[in-house]
Amino acid sequence: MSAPTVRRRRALGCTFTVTGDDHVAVERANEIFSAFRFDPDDNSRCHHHIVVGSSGVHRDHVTVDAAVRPPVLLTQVVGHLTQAVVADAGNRYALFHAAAAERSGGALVLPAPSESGKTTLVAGLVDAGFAYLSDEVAAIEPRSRLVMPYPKPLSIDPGSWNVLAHMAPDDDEYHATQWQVLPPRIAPPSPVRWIVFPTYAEGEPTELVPIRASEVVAGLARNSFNFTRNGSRWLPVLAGIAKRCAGYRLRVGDLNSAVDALVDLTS
Amino acid sequence: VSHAHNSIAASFAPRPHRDVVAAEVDDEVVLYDTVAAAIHILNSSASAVWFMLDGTATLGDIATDVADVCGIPYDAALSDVIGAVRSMADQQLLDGFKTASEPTRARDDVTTPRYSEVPPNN
Repeated sequence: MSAPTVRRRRALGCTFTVTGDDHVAVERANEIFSAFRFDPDDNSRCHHHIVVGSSGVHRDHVTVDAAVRPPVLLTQVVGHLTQAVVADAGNRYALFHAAAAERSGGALVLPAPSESGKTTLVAGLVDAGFAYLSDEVAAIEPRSRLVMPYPKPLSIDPGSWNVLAHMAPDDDEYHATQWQVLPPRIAPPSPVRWIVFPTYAEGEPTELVPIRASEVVAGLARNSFNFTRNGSRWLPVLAGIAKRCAGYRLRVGDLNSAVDALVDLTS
Repeated sequence: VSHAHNSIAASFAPRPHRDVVAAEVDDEVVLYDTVAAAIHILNSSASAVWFMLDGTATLGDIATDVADVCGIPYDAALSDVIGAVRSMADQQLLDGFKTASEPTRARDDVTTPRYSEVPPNN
C-alpha cells in the first residue's frame, strides 16, 4: 500500500495529523477521524502530530505506546488525540466528560464517568435522529454557551455490541476489541439546552427525574476536565449554564426506553 | 485567627473563607472550596445567611434581619442562623475554621478525570 495522503484535521481549535509507516493503520485512523474537518482559513493555536508505525504510537515526538497491535491501535490513537485536545482546549472551553447530541436546535449533554454507558446512549440517540456532537468530551464555549462538536468516532465496547449490532464495522482486526464507528450526521455548534446525568441500572425501570440547578452545577463540576484547575473562573460559567438549562437525572434500565425518554424530553 | 465551635453565638461576626468561591443559582448557593476541591450546596435559607456574612455583621444582626423579613420571633431566627453557620463551620467554609483535617460533614468532592494516566475509551 502506498503512503496515504497526509490530512490535516481540526478538533476544538487544534489541528492534528496522523502519519506513519504503518500505512494501513494510518488509513484506518484517517477514516475514523474524517468528521474532523479542516478549514484552511482557521487560525489554529496548536498542532498535534500522531505517528503510528512499526515502533509504536508517538504523539508530538513522544512515544506513548511502544508496541501496539491492530486490535487496540485505533482505541489508543483516539485516546491519545483526546488527551492532547483536552489539555489544549481547557483554557478556551468548559470541558466535560460527557456525551452530547443535538436535536431541535439545542444540545443535550450527558455527563458521566467512564463505564456509565455514555457512548451506547448517544449511539441510540444518533439512531433516533439526533445529530452527533461527541461521545466523550462536551466542550462548551463560556460566553455563547455553544456546545462545540468533538466528533471522534463512537467508541463502542463489546458489552454494547448486541444492542448496536447494526453499527458493526466491516470485519476488521482493527475493530476487534472496540468498534470505532463514524456517526452519520455531525451537529454544528449548538446552544446547550438540556443536561442529563445518566446512570446505568440494568433491569430497573428507566426514569428521568428533574434536578435543581445547584445539582446541575455540582454534577458538571464533578464531570469536568478543567474545573479544578481554576474553579473560581469556571464556577460562574457552570452556574450560567445551569440557569439556562433543564437538568435531569436519568436512570437507564435499557437503551430503548432511555432513548424514548430523551426523545420525549427534547421534542 | 482560629475560632472554637462554641464561639458561634449572637455576638460572632464570621466571614467566608478566602479559598471558597460562591455562585448563586435560583435561590440556592453553590460553593467551591478551591483548596479541598469540594463542592457544597446551601439550601435557600442558608444561602440567604451566607451572603450576609461579611465579617462585620454579627449573627444577632443577621437574625434581626431574618426575623423581620420572615415574620418570625428573633429567638427562632437566631437559632436557625446559628445552626446554619455552625454547619458552614463544620464544612470549613468560614474564615478561622479551616484546618488541615478533612471536613466532618458530607461533601461532594470534585476530581478531574485523569486523561494523563489512562487514555479514554468509554
